[in-house]
Amino acid sequence: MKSFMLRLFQTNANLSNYVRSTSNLQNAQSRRAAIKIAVIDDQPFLPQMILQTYGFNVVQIGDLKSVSEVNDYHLILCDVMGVGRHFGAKAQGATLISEIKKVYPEKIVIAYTGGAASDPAVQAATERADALIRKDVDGEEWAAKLDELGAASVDPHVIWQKVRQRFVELDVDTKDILVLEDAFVRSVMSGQADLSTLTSMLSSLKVGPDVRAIVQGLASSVIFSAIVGHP
Amino acid sequence: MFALPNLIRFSSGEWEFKDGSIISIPLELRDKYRIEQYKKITGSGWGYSEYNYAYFSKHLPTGELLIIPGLYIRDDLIKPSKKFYGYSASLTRQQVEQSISGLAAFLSRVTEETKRELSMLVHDLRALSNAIYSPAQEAVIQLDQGNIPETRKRIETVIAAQGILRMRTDALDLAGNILDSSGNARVPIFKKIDKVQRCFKSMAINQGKSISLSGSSFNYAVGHDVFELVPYLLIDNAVKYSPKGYDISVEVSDTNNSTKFAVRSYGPRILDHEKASIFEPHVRGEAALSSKIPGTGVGLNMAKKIVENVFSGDISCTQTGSPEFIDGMNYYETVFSVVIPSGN
Repeated sequence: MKSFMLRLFQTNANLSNYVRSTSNLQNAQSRRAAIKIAVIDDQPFLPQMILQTYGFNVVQIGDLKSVSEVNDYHLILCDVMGVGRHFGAKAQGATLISEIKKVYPEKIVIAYTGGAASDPAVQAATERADALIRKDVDGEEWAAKLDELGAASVDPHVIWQKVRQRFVELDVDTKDILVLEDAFVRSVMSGQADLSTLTSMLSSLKVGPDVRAIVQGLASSVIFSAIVGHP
Repeated sequence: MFALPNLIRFSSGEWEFKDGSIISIPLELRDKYRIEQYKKITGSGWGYSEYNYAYFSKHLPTGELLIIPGLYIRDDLIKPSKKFYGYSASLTRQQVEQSISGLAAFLSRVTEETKRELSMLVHDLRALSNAIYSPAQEAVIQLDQGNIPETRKRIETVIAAQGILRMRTDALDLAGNILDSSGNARVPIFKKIDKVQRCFKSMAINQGKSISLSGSSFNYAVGHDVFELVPYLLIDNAVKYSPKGYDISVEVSDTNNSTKFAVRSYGPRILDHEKASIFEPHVRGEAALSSKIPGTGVGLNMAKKIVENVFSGDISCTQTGSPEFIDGMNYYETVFSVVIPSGN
């Protein structure tokens, strides 16, 4: 009986081929334009012009004052040094990456640095970010890395993997995770840019404010408008 | 951590005290007051300090003053004026001196290696600085003359030189870090090799040499994103050691579940017994040393570490054919081969 009931749930496995089946994200060039990239840096971001020439939608947002400033972006590039001063005297890029990941676990955050690999600040950022890019790489390498991670940033399968991992870290009940996963998959499969099935389900669950904030952040973010093509 | 208690005065004038990991001295011999007393020691050699416990001091080759205080020496005629429970005479003067001499010799070797590597780095950076400056200046001249194709060519040379500078920086950044197989980046092998050899083309032409690439590969390697340092180190070696007027060829091919690439050039003789050891750190072949071409013996070791530890591949070196006598030296066809398992 239990296994019969479980079979009625949709799981993330159903989304493993979702991106390949959605037409608006198959083409790399259109994906470059659709994916919004935020750059957190206190200094001018020198590769901006080169990346724009490649077709990437890059916006420099300076140092973060609040984590919500990245809400409208799919992918975040975060400098390792000289940022995070609004988050404490000792805060650096690694602190910002952690704070962003707490609220927006689904977002891809890339640390970029000119620092040495042995520098503790670089090591901390590398552990917390999804990837690391060295500041002196050429345009070709920037493009390859952003294409690869950009694709992951709008892949619902990858997104839910990250969100689910955060729920596990927050010690959310497995049954609640199952119910939320089912609602998420149904929302995506039916092309809901606002994930309405998921948000409705959230109201019927007894989950903490952190979980609510993550789901609401996910529903209000621009990710799914890019995926289902309703900006 | 030292086996013996130690007080070190660094070149900056700062002091640091650490108790020994094997011989620990009583708290009464390392309190704040005692440490201040030990700081008054200036010369090298043996002496007595608090409660007649011995100390040994030595100026290290790296510039620091090392003091081993509070020693209870077995073969000393002068005995301590105060004894501490559980602290007995355990070492002889000779044992202490041997231990410190060993440390000094080690530090001396490290200092020499660091100096050599820094000297090599300065040499490489100056060469790259020139490789960037000269074509940039030429580009300005060509632009003033309205020659757009030549301007473009010079700018491409500047970009290539930056590519080499970046890889040299990566090699420096990576030196001393532990390399393992935990990385999961997918690295397009051919693309990386092609990019590296393109970066070296202008530099090779300036030295009267040429680089050609043949073959193809559709495989990916999986590991930390450091693969391009392997072709960088091997091509850099080939450009450095090959004689003027000779070609350096880079050959790439896919085999079953792996990709092989080889860098073929003329190079100084590598004796049979040197073929394995040239991949060891700080080892250079006799002929390479006598060529007077600057080197540290670090590059091939780094290439081996990356190939074996990061990508679980193999690297080897062969020399074939009869020697060619060029500019007073025998050169042999030298092939460095790398096999990388496919991570497709």
